[in-house]
Amino acid sequence: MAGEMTLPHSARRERPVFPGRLLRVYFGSLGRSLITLVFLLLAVIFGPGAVKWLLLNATFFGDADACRLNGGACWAFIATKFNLILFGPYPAESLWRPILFLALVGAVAVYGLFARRSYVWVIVLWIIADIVGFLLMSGDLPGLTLVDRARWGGLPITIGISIAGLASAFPLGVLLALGGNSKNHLISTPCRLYVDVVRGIPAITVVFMTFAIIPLILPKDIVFDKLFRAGVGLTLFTAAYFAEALRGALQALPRGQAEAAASLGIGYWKANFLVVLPQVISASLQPIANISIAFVKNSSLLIIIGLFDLLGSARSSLYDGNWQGFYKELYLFVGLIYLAICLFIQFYIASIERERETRISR
Amino acid sequence: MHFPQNDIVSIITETVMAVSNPVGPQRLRKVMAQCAMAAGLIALLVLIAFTVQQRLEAQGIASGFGFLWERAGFDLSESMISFDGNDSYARALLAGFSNTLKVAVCSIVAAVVIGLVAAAAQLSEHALARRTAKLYVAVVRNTPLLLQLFFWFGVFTVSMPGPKAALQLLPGVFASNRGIDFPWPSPSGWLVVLTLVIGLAASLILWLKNRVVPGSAPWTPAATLTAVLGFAIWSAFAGLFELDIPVAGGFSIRGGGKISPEFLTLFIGLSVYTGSYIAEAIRGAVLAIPSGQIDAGNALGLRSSMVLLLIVIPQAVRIALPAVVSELLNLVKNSSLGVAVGYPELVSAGNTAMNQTGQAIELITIYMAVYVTFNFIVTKLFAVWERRYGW
Repeated sequence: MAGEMTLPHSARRERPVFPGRLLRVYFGSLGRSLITLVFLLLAVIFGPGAVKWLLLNATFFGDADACRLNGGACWAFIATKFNLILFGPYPAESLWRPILFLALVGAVAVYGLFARRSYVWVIVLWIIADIVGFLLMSGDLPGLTLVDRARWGGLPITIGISIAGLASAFPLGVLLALGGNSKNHLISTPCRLYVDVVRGIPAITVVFMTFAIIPLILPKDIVFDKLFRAGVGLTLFTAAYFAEALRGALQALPRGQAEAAASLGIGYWKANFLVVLPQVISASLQPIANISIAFVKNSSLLIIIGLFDLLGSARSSLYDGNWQGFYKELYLFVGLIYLAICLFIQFYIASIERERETRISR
Repeated sequence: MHFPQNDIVSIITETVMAVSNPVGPQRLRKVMAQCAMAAGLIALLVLIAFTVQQRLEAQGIASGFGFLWERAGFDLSESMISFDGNDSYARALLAGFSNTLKVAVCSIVAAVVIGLVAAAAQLSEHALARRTAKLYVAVVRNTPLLLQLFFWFGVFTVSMPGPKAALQLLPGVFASNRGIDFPWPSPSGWLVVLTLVIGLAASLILWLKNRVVPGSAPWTPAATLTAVLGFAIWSAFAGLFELDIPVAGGFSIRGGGKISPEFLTLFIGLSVYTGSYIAEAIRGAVLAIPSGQIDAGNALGLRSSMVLLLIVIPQAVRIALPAVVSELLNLVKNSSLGVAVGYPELVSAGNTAMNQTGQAIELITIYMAVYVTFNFIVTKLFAVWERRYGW
């Protein structure tokens, strides 16, 4: 290290100088050169094949035979099955309804990005869009034909159940967190037990349970369909994770906050809503984003109990005897949709967090 | 007077005190409210149990766990413990759980390795490695595990040739849409392998001992080694060491060891998925180390590899470990998705039993009990271990 100044760690990064810096990054030491060589080797071995598969030999228009002849990716399969993948077995003549629902949700999403400060209002808009979407899909509006719930499918299900589930799991999680923090053991013990047990079991068992047990608990004449029961399962599951995320922040909040509210004569619920929860929620935005993403991903479990969510209806397109074997294209396409939804949630909540930080620091 | 109002005993004493003592109506109200709530909770549970019982009777399903000892009558495609259709449902669940443990243990090892490599790559200054690792983490964490499992299942079944045209990866190792087949020692072969391992270990120990305490008997390790090698050569000529080598037939590959495509799917899927979460946990832990620690190491003139080894890694391990353990527990829970790709783990075996017997509540209770107990044991063991080593 002779002749080199020992600078603080943070000050060590030098200004980028084009060729020199590149050489140092990729061939600066034996280890780095080896890593670079491995990457080069991989690119030489797999690169041409990947490019050929993705683009050069790919089939964009045509039928399955054309795809098999060309040997590359079969994007024509996605194009042919586009409606089935995105909307499942929904009647073709009414497809404008799920499309309108998706457009509505998309509009709220874009609006949400611009109206970051009024996120409570945006949440209300999400819920309104979800309810309107539900009415549109079922056809419970004047002038629309009814569509049986068994024919719903695809992306609207994934998005619809995610919004409805998260909108109900979050308040439930808040209640569980407050309950778990209660001084009254009759309240706190069941809440904590619930959170610990649910966090210890796989999501799929909770979905199975609500699926099998709800019809047994409720009176005979009330029949809930599969979609509702599965949604309840995912909601109950996710509520426990929200509760755990909020509990940490709740315990980290100085007791003085609640005490100050109490000494001002503010009651328990009002103090929680005005003083405690706003601080707790904004301190746990990152876990909330992760749990929301987990909900979207977990909604794919509906396929196991025979529902057609996005993944389910996509998979059903593989059952067509003419088009068998193009699973890679399909899962790549569907994976990109999930990726877009999850990255949006990540980005949206991160932007709320940034907004909040700038507002506080001002 | 102040009473701790937390446990049931004190609630009762308080009730008695409050009722007998007219002073303090507020406390009385509180206690009454608590009693009412407890009563309501119990009434709700009783009502649910009663309705469920009634409904099951109407459907002609006997409740209770008695069915566990009846004959199962179905087979599992693979099992760690011996199992066939004549065994009981209880044994089917046990066989399923053994498969859960098998795939979980294998995936945990692989996931930790993937996580470490990806974390190192994410933190490295090698831009290509860093970007690749970040892409891997972003893609894998933001798509459903089930989708990834379906993808891997396609890779190991649809994209693989049939047994007739099986790929020969190494001499005797075949990959086909029936999984991977590889040579496996026969029982007498295992005996030879065992003797060799023990002999080699013995000669290594003797050699190490001679280095520490020189001059005692310098010829012992060499003699042991010669004996072991002699035995190996003799057993090879005597035909004791037999390898069961798979043979590719028309419709299947026979003989040798076998890894099923279902196991491969779940193993690769879980490792790749959990690896990305572990990578994030480790990366977060390394970034959480105060930069002053690294500066101090640099200031002492330590080389960067030494700073990593002596300062960064020991602290990062302490910060990352709880998160990594929780991710590994998630891996065990996620192995229940084997039900979607036909790997006969606990939930998969249980669901077959559920379809035959209709004992949904009992079986789901068993799933939950198994996973919660497992979770609880691991968490407690980890807590004890953490306390013992001062973390």
